[in-house]
Amino acid sequence: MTVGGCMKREVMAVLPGTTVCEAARVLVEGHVGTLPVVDANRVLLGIVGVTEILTIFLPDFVALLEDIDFVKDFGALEDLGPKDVPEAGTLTVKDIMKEPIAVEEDAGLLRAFALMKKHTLRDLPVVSKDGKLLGIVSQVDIACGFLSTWAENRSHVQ
Amino acid sequence: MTLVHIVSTLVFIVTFAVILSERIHRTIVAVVGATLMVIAGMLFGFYSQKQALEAIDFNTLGLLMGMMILVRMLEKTGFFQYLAIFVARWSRGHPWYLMILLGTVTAVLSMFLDNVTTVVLIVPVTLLIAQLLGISPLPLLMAETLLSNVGGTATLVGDPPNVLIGSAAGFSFNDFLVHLGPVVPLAWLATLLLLRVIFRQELAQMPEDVTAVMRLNPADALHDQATLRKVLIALGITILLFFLHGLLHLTAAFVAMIGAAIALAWVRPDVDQILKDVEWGVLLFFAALFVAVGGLEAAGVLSALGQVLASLAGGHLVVASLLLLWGAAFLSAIVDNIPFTIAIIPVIQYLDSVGVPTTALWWALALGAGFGGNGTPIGSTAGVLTMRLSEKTHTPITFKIWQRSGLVVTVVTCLVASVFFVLFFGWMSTR
Repeated sequence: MTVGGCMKREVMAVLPGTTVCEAARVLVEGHVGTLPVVDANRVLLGIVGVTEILTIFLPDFVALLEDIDFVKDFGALEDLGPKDVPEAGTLTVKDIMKEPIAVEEDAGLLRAFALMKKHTLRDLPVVSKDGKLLGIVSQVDIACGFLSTWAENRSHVQ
Repeated sequence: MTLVHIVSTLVFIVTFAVILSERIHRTIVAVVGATLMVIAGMLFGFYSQKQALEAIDFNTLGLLMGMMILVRMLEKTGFFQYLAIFVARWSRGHPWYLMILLGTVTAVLSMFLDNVTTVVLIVPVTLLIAQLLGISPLPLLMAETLLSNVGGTATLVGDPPNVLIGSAAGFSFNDFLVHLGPVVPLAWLATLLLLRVIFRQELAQMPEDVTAVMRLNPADALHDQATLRKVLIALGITILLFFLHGLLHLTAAFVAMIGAAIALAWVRPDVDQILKDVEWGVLLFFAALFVAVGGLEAAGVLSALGQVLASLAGGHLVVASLLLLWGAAFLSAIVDNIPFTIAIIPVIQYLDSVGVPTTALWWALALGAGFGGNGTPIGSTAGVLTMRLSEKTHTPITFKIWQRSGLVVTVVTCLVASVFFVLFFGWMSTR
């Protein structure tokens, strides 16, 4: 099976100038974890996910301390909102998006999964030859696609 | 002035200028400069390979290396985080108490350990404490950085210029404590009081909720209590031997190596890992500078300079000491204080050889080089690293913040040192 066989074709995407707050709203409403960032011609420019947005709210010490296991309680930091983190209001998707890692429709499932693992992505955009967004495939989509053929083979062996 | 003077001075000045320009890594420049100095010395017959080797002060290198090995073993245990959390709970989140306690812990640690390591380990946990409390980390970070340099000035092992001065002048650990010990607490107090005024707005901001900090358990921050105990005992023996090394006729380098040997043998860590973290670049930088300055000395440039200074300083030792203190402070603020100290040492040694009483000059140099580093963010490595770490945060230390705190602290601490010098000149002139 190829990526084209298990990807979702209805995919929400945002423009690079979208504010982080607006992107957060789209993520919440669609209950998805990743938004491809595209230009007006739907050419993929980057990826923005919940990780990038939540990272804005992470306190500085998380990146600087090697070990934070001993911090049992984040106290008032847990209640931070966009107002407490001024960057959240001014940043756009372009400022925080990751590089556009993507595969084409005819890519194999194992290669797609390897890319996701290397780049710590939960979802992988699928693009046409000219870079236009066609769909998105999640780790679960790939796993189901890959493991279903595997399960079929097994039942065949039995 | 002879051709030999001109050639050796030229090699040295070019090396020095390129180091200060910071375009190329200082270690690379120093190694190239040292090589050129030896080549020039051989061509013009003023400096041999043997003399170059003898110019390297292995007492300085050994002391730095031994302490680096000890601190590398200590830093992996979480001890610094433990101390910071301990005092944070003690302060109950009160920003002013927190600044006093964290600043003082950093100052005391810097008396015995390398300032840079202390600051690099204490700054992240300070950000944690400030962010959990919802208070500004700026006064805390500034207090830690400035006081690490102030504290480091107090002892033979606290600061690289002191290591150099102690080795060149033959001062013991106790000599430093006795002469600089009284000045440093005054400078510590002045620094804290000044920061209290300068950061009065930030320090007035009381935390709304201290529960998150009170829930931190210092013991949880320790990764390896068994190793910590062993390294602390090794460090304790080392510090005890430092107090006695003058009496026992042990060099400071040998004491540091005894400490490193005890810790290594007892903990038996992954040696490659520990040695990888020893700053070989710094040690090579020192060695190369010794060779370069050795050439200048062999060419007779430094004694010529010393003759000029001797005639100037001869009758006015108090003035000469104060000029050296402020001159060293000014240069340490704008450039790296290590090359400056290495270059000035043979000049003072020359003055000593022609009968000028130099004891006070050494202490003036130590105080100026130590306190001066606080003048600008680039004046000390600890300052450079705090700035670099704070740039990664939402509340970076800007040049302006440094000017209104660090620069003021430098001027006032140098004033404190100057007044002490004038009042107790007799004391500072005796060993």
